[in-house]
Amino acid sequence: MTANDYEIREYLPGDEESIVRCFNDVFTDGDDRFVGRDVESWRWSFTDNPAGWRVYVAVCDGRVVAQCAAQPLRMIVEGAEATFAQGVDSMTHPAHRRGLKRPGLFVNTANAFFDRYGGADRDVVHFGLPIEQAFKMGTTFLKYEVVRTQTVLGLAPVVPPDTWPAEVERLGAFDEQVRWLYDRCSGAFGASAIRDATFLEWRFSRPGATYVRLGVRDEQGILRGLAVYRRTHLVVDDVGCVCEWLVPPEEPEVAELLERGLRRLAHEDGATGLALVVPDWSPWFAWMQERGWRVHPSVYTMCSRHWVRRLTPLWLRNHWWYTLADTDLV
Amino acid sequence: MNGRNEPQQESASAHGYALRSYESGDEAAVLETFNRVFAAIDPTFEPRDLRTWRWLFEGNPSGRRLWLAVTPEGRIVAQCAGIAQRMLIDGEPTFVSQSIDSMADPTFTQGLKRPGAFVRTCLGYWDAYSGSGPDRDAFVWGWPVETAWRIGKSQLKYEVVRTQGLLFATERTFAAGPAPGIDVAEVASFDEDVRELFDRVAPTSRCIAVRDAPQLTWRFLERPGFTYRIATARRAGRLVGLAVFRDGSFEGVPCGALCEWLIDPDVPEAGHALAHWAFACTLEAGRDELVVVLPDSRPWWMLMQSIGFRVRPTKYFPVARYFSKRHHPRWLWDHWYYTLADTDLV
Repeated sequence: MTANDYEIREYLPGDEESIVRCFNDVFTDGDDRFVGRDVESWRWSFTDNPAGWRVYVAVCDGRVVAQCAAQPLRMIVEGAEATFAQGVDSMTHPAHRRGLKRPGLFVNTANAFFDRYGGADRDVVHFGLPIEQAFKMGTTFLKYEVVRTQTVLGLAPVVPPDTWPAEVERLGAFDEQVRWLYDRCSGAFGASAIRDATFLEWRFSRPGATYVRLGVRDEQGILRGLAVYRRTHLVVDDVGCVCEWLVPPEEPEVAELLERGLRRLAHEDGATGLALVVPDWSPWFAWMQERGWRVHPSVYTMCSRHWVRRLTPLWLRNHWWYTLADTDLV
Repeated sequence: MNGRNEPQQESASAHGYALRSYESGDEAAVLETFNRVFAAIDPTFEPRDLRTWRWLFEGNPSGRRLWLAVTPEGRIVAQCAGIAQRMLIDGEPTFVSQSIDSMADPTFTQGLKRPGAFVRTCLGYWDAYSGSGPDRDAFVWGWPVETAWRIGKSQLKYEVVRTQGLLFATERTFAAGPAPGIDVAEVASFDEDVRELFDRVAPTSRCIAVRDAPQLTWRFLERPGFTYRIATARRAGRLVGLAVFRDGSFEGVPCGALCEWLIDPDVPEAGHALAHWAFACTLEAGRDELVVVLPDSRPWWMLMQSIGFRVRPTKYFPVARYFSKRHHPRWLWDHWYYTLADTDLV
């Protein structure tokens, strides 16, 4: 194969079926857990994302054979709006992994992706949580650097409260109060994805996934804190993942109610434990440990490539707030 | 040099300096440059004396790693230095080294063409000491500050192994007591059975620095200016655990530090008993917390939390430059056991 055999370009409407076919061919290989993806799921991941989509493909004989893609997030970085994008679904079809000489088809596709989307006036940070194989590829060829080796706060076994905490309610649709809550929380964050109804509604409408939205309100009905739960596989099976956690740090009484609700929910749901990802500088990292949660290693490494000089991995490590909601892990 | 091949030297050249290994007699110039360079960048720096320098580079039973850029007049332009460590990697003896005291004298290096004297010195160090095989350093590692890290990653191919968390326990959280059948005793020296204990521990980690009486004696009993307390745990006379405590500080916070931690994997209660001893040392020293640095991928990370240790982030992140594909940083993250004893932090 030569460069003339491949067209590397941005996604065009109509590519999705070929992308999904390639995805299923790539990821079914050697993964017993793999569940084939459909076009609906692809559309949710990319074209339905209210923050937009980032997709570059390599096409050979009319078929997509490689992809470099990302899910953008609307961010506030040091008080100003910006965009980060999480790399997901990077792939090269096995029949084309020898396509093109060094640096190879995927790297060529990725370089075109970065040229198109990375920059001070575009995505200021690309990030991902690769496992080992993708980590080597990312650090060796794509200039990704380590933000942190990711730990997970875990609680197992879960000792539930005897009854459901009456102050904790199951939320319906997210509304404007989510943004109010985010604004109360985000003062301490140097960088964070904007939590508003648009983002969270999209994030927690993922096809095939069931999420439980928990909230605590004050007497006036104002949302004081929220958590989103899903039982799934994260390192181990049947973990109750706290996909989102948004509580002002000066309101531990709200956190206590939500944490009790999560314990009760995990117990009723038959989860083997609870898992939560928050930055280790967050007050919640220490607070959860006081509640019996423990800091577990994980196979994941948070990596980034930055397009604005000050947003180094070291800066991100110390200032970037993220939860599992910012990732595609759950 | 412990049987190692004498590395290639490079004579004085167009660069105006020679790249070569340390030679007897260099130490005064090395020390003078070290004290001057680090005093200029670190307000808390305390000058090193010759006795400490000799302990660090001449006394280490694992050998010496010193590569210099030297002017014809004998002045030091740059230094790449390391603490050698005898290792077992997948059960095979080899070496690694911890990069320390790396420096370039700005008097010489300003205006030099890329790659500068410092990078050339590091490359010479790697040529001299690193690679695959039983007498080469399989990887070189360190705990860089931010400026060193920028050079390390961009020009020397260092990569992050992990972002290091700190295990700490306070009187409120600590929950380990003495263990029945385990005798803990403070000792003044390391006996030969330390190696037997190490041989039982080593198979649980695919990558570990050798702990034996010569190495630990050098590390803890011969270090000038530092006092450590050593305790052994024995069951029916057999050594099943070893711990070293120091009263000091970590990241500016006064604390007791567990500097060494070697526990028979079949006798975890020896760890409980030694942790109990170390926490008593902490209180005796008037400190509020006991800290320990361990890899989060190794079993004692979770076991420490089960006896009351909690975790907080640190500014430290071990980095490594590896010389065989096998020892990629992610592999090191998974398999490399280290304690504060492996570092120059305490």
